[in-house]
Amino acid sequence: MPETSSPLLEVEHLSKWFPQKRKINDVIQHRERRWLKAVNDVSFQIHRGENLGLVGESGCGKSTLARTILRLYEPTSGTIRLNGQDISHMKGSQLRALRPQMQMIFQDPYSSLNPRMSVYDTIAEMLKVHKMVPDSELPARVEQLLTMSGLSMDIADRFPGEFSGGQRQRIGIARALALKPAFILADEPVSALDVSIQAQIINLLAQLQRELNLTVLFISHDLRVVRHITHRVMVMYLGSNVEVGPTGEIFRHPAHPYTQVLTKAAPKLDPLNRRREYAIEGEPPSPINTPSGCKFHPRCPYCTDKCRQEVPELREIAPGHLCACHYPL
Amino acid sequence: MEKLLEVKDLHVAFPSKRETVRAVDGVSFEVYQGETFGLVGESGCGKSQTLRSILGLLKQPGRITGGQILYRGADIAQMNDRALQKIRGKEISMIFQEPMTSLNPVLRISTQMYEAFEDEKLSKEAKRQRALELLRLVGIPSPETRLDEYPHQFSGGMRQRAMIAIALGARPKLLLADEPTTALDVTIQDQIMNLLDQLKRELGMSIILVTHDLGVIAQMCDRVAVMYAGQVVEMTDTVTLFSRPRHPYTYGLMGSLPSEDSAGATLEAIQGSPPNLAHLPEGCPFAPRCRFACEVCHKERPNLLEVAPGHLARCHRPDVTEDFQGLIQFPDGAVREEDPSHA
Repeated sequence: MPETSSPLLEVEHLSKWFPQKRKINDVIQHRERRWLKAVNDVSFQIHRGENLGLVGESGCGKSTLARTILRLYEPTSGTIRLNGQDISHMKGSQLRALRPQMQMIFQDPYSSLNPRMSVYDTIAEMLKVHKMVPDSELPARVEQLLTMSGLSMDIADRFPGEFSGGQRQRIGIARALALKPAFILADEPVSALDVSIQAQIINLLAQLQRELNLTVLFISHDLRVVRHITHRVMVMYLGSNVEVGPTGEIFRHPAHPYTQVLTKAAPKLDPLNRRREYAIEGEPPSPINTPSGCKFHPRCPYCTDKCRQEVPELREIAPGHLCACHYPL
Repeated sequence: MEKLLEVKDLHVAFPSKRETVRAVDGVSFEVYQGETFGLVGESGCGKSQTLRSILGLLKQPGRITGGQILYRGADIAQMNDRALQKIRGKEISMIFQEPMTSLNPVLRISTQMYEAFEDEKLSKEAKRQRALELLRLVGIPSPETRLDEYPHQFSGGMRQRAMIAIALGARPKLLLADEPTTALDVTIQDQIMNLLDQLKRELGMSIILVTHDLGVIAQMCDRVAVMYAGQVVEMTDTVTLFSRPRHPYTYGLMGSLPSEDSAGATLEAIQGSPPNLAHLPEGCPFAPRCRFACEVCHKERPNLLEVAPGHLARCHRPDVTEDFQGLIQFPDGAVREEDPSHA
């Protein structure tokens, strides 16, 4: 576990709301604009060298949160601090200067590489744009990056179309590392890959993180992968952070009923241990009309009147383990 | 148990001007009444093509180049479209990974459901009742309103349920499921898996389930065939597969999965990537990635051998795999208490 020095990334009460289109009738009748609260009052920190997992079902706001942190979106409210510097409302050249510090590894290695650029150009372009190395040292740096990602310089003149999914993801990783970023956001980096290739990429990411002391926000819906690779986990439901804590503890003793549901729902790799009842009924409600009180209450097996009325605060239930539930398990 | 479907030495090829891709290369298996049979493997291993060829749904230019598909004794592989039409939906039905692309976006769910029992010449009211009954069976809430809606008004999980309801419309004996839960969230996947399992037991149906997810196989299947490069490399019952895998590829797949206590450790990944089906190596297609490959593996193609009663593996060196420990302990004769399938 990384030490608890000052956090590299601090997110406080971050919200990102998207306005919904109003019908002409609504405008005439002065009805209030409705908002899709994709991310609503989320706070957390990531320490240097730490890998924080972010889990939740589709539509829970994982990707919006990630994009807001990277400042691909402007936050509706709240602050994001990188290295103590407030980046929440940076613009223009300031923002451009910030970009090299935060890089992203995408889910789909097929669509995130330019098919008309050779591997060498893909990586060298970033080094040139951000003037990372003098031109004379470009080839050496590209080679170093490719080697780090388990590739060789032989492939430098080839194009993305000639590679398999695993190799493309390696190119994506080399590109993300090129600018020596302080923070890496990996959005479902292994979800599109086959099982045998997935393991190679997981091993590579874990190894690079150790060697380069990378700080990573690892988004995934695959709990097995998250359990394997992350130090801490944050669980999101309908735009809110419902639980965060050390990975081992979250999986062994989930405190939020939703976390418990998620861990139970993942199919066990044991044909002698089959469940015949499912973990939860129904589906998450729309993020436009979120339920009152605890957003999870309509699906929660332990729901009480208090849950229907009062919104639970995120509070510490064990050292470093926070949970937003009136009655943590 | 009655043998429902028998696939014998099936070959499927996708010819093009430059090269021919042998997507399925001599696949044989049997499916009995009331069982769930799994086909597992990575993308491009031929599992989906095997499934599609059963109902003659191969995409152009793919075609069956050899072998038989016997459904209750009749060879479906030889049938023309007209004859197949009598089997599609009524005897054998299929559900797909992407419910949005398999449902017709411009037709109401009701219209799409009625198509399944068009032949029965039911009255309008009888059709509606039958459709409602099916929607209730697959767990769609307020079916009366849902029946008249369009696919885009359904969520992902509901679309998958609607597709299953349509597939069950003519009460098929065999359901072909191509990655039915892959596009869904874990909690919804869990619901659909349970639904399929429950329907299978209630309707006495058989299922052939194609997936890349060993977790889904472990939870749903009675028997499994593992595929690699167009061939079945291992076939046995699910418990044996997970406790004593005998093919190095199956073993490698299991090692590739992170487990509860693998955190911090390096995963035993399989090196390299799957071969190009148009240019397969001379010997065993898995040999270039196999830790145990020896000279003969690179020269000769192995046959599917019976390594234990009812347990087939396609490997030249069945001796090295004898002591492989899978993901679970083999239940020594006794059936464990928590096994509900034997309860």
